[in-house]
Amino acid sequence: MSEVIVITSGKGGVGKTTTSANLGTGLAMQGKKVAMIDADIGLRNLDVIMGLENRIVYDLIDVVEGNCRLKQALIKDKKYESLFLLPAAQTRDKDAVSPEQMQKLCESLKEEGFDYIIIDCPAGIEQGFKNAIAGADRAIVVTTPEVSAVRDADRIIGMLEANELRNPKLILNRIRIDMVKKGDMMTMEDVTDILAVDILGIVPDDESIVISSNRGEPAVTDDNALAGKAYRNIVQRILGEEVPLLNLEEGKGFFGKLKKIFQKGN
Amino acid sequence: MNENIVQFKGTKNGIIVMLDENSPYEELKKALDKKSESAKDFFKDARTDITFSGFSLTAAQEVELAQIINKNTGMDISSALSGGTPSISSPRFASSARKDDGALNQLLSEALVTAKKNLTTFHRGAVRSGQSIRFPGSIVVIGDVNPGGELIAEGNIIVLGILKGLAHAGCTGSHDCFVAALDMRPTQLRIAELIACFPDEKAENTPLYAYINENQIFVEPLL
Repeated sequence: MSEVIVITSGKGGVGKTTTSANLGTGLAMQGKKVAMIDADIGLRNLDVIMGLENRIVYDLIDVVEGNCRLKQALIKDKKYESLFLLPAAQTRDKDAVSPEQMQKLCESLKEEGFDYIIIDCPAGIEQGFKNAIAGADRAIVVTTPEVSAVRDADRIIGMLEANELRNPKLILNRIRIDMVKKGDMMTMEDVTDILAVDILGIVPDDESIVISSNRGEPAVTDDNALAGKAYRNIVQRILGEEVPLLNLEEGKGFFGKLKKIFQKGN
Repeated sequence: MNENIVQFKGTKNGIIVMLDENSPYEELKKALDKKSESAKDFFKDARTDITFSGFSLTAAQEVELAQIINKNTGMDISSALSGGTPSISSPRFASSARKDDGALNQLLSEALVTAKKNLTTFHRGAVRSGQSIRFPGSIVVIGDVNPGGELIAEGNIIVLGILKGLAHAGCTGSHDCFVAALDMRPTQLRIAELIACFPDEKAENTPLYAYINENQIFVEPLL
């Protein structure tokens, strides 16, 4: 059984692409056959985060326009045999694809025998968003604990529901436990109270994300990174296992550990 | 001539003129003339609908018969029906009928507006940013109204949840409307043409009730 999951947020810069890369890689680490689609046509990033930029020959537009076969455009990951990326075109824009074409693309990927198809949705609520959600079975909404991001997530959840993608799951990204404890940042409860959706996971604000993204190796592969652990937990939950959330107390423990590591470094 | 081929029967919906099916039209006409003449004191200046039954009349015949009744009795016929199908074509009736049609239509549309005003739409679940509920009556939301969400009602608004978006009650100008919420911290609250903003600091979670008094929006604890 294959499943198409769209990663969306409304607001830009909250970590959709990072989340897509980490979840895709995490699922592949669990032995699943995964295809990642970069739906952010014209502003492609997923290939960069995955470190696969230099391997692109064909892209999504080439596939929908019939310039190449689907298999030719799928780029195999450096590390994981069962992980593939379908990159976006950089020279075109969102209007180059229609929702119907995206639906067809998702269907053909399902036929290829992929277990999971992860779609990295562009920011905004326009054509690019409509394309990205067209073929999706499930949606994951990424937000950060900021009022603007939560507001946009709320709008996006409403739009997903209007498009029959009910019960989207929430990932609260870039949470800073120290600030939450001081009362300077929204807590997970604040966010879930507003959005009224199930939480799939929380990801702490972690320097390792920046480092791994720049290196083109998703943090999920890093055993020592706290954010990596958070993503591994989320992957477990996608696979249907019950893993407790990184709660505040636990987080404090992790941050304590993290602090120690940095102190050692100094 | 047998006058009994035409009979009048009064009902609460007007007068039914029963015409013998087996008699020729000319005879029916004469009989009706006589009968209505003799009943003119009874029908004098009455204002009513008449319905022809029995003999199947053409539209022209119907008008002719109605005119006879009108001439003989002075009865103001507001509509003439035959077998349930309204068919009025004579100018005399048309004018009065059109006037009545207008009045009827106005009455109907007024009733419809009142009915809609008395109607309530229910929404279950959150009203999210970008979503808007507009209704000619009242709105009840069972769930939260998030910032960026809108409720616009010609009647009242009740939110069984937290009202954080915009609520506009009595949007057509009715000052009698109210907004009530279990927890009220709207971005903006409007009743009729009045607009109120809420203080930014988080109020305690008591159910509140907003209404207009002397051209000002007042907010009071609901309980």
